[in-house]
Amino acid sequence: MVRAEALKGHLEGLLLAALEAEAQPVHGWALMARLRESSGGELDLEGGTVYPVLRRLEESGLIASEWTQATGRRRRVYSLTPKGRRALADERTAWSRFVTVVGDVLSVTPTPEPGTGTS
Amino acid sequence: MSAPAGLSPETLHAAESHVARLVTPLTLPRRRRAELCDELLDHLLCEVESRIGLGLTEQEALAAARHLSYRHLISSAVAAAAADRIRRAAVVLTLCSLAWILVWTLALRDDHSLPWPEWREPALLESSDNLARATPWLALLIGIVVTIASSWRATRVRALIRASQLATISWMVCAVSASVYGFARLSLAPHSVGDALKLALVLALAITSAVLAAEGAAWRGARALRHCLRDAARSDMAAAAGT
Repeated sequence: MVRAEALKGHLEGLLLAALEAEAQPVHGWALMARLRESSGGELDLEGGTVYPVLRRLEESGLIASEWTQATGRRRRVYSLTPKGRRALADERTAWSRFVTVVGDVLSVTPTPEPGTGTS
Repeated sequence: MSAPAGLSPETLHAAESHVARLVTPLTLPRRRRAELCDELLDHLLCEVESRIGLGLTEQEALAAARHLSYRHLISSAVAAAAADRIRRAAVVLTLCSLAWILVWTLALRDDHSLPWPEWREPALLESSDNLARATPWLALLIGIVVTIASSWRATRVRALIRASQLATISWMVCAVSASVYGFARLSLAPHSVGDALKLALVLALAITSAVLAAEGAAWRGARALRHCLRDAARSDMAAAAGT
């Protein structure tokens, strides 16, 4: 299970991606379920983690929210804005670069010291 | 409100009562409180429905989902309290400024001086009179701007609020620095008890605003949250003991 602290800095991108995957505006609970599903259960986040990030994304204009009526109760649903789509594209680019750079560094194997190698 | 498909009216009522009990003690604007209630209730009922789908009874599902709503509430309430903190600090600043202007006009003003600064004077900060007259007007301006800005939707005026916060902090730093400088000058060349009193009031205004902004609102927010969670937990324990 991935801890919420480990996602610091990436949760915004994950939520934007989850919203992009939805054809319709979705509510917070469904977004959390989508993250859980698409990560094979690894991303089981709490509402206390997700909702404040949704607030921040909305304040930044990356997502928009509206109130709808669903199964007899009011429901706040979220959707991606054009600005959010651009931010998601940037996030994907930055993430690819990050993975490449870190992968390159991690894949470096130690070079044998002179005289210790096999002849 | 009609019962959602699959949930009994009793469960819906219990969930509504639970959410209302959590949210009611919080000091939030009416609209924010209603939105928090609705979103928390929807989240709670989604959790209940999900657990029923896994085979739990309605009562078991509701009991399990309640614990999750505490965490949701804490984050939401803290965010709301942070937004309120700005507004309260701005109102305090505005009231302090008005009080200071009133004190100046009624008690400290010399017969010939006006209650606003003389900007044409070359050395503004070297004049304790000018400093004492300029400070409350600047504070009043900042207080009014922040109060109005923080009452609007944060999404629209976030930059304005940040700019106002920056201006408030700058003003506090300037007022404290200028007051200290003024006191230093007075100690070298004493003028009058009135000058020292004016500087002391300017300094007090700046420090009071800073302390109230940083501590007062945070304390009130934390107190409301603590009470609300304690009451909710106590009520849940009583319900559990009853069953």
